[in-house]
Amino acid sequence: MKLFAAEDKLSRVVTDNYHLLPVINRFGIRLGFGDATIGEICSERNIPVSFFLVIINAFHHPDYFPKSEFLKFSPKLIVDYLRHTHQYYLSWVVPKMERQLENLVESSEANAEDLKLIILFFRKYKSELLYHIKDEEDSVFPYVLRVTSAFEDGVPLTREDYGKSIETYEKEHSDVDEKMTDLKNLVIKFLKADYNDNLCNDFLITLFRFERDLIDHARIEDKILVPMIARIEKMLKNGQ
Amino acid sequence: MASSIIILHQSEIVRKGLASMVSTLWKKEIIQIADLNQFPDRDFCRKCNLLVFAETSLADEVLDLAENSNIETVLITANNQSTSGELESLRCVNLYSDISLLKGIVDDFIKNEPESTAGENDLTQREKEILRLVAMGYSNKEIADSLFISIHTVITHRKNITGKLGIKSISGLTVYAIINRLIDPAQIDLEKFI
Repeated sequence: MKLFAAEDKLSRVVTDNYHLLPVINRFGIRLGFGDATIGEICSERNIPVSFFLVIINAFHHPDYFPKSEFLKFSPKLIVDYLRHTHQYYLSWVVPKMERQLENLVESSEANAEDLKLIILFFRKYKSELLYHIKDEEDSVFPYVLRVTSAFEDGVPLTREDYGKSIETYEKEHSDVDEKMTDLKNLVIKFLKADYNDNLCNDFLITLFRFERDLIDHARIEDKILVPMIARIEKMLKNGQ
Repeated sequence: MASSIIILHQSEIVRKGLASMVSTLWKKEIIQIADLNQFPDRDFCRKCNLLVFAETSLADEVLDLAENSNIETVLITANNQSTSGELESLRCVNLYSDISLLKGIVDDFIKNEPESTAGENDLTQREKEILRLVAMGYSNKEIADSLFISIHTVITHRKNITGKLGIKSISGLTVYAIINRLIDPAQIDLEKFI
């Protein structure tokens, strides 16, 4: 597994895996970076390079699991990154999928009932996804930030927070993931209505892309953020 | 090729009565519909072997659908009603027909049924029955009670259904059941279940 390193040119990262474009955007980095390396661009923008590398490598290599010595950056950065990701889903991907589905229904001259059911199902999925995102934004992230402040800045934890653990916050992603798989199978295996091939492919491609992005998102939460916070909780409890 | 019996009649009493008699002779799917809007589409008809008991006033349309399909049509006539034209050649049942007439019709249909080519991923009749109840929002316990089987058996069936279809959520199963005409969307509150 060849990992991206600080000396690599950022343009190479994009040509190697263009799916990383929205990931790079979440750091506020936009195109036109010439021959600048990852290290140069990160230092210009005050982005800890280790953090940037962990995020792009985690996305590029599904099996990548950074060792704790690489996790020298603040969990606040991860929360910030995850919030940008949520924003990208809410303001761009989910509306795009919904629009593509609506176009698909409009393209069907007859017997669009199947497609209308799939829209209804998509909306149910969407409401569960939004609920899950809201829960993270309203309860998980604030807790992570409080624990991080207690560790980094010595802001004392409340008694209530002290009794908690990030593990208890780790909500099941499974319901939302389950519906995503169902949606995919309903369309790929069981769609019977007349439909426009190209519009349907557009929708499915967006769906596959989103699925991949969500897996990456969950991996950053489960494999990076949660272990980091669990380690901080332990240190706080040991009075370190 | 799957085989189904369709009962097409506006009267619920006729539909249910006939279905209940036919169900003693036929262990596979019986679809009850009140009007032609609910009739399976041409694609489905081409893929299936169908025996349709149709109300006489709707029979012309059924014969149209039957063109190029494996649909055998039987008329449900009013008492002493006579038929003319194309319908004359069709077999009939009426409100006073007894089970032996039905048995003859259903037996002939079964005899002509092509060898089943159901793949291992096709749902069995029992699985379809359970899927239908799941999609209509019944709990495992309610399904177990209504089919006189244990909850454990219901759960096993549900696992097999999910394994075959790749669909796990109740709302996903509901969409599948409607698309495949295992349930009539009018029977459920779509907003609630999907």
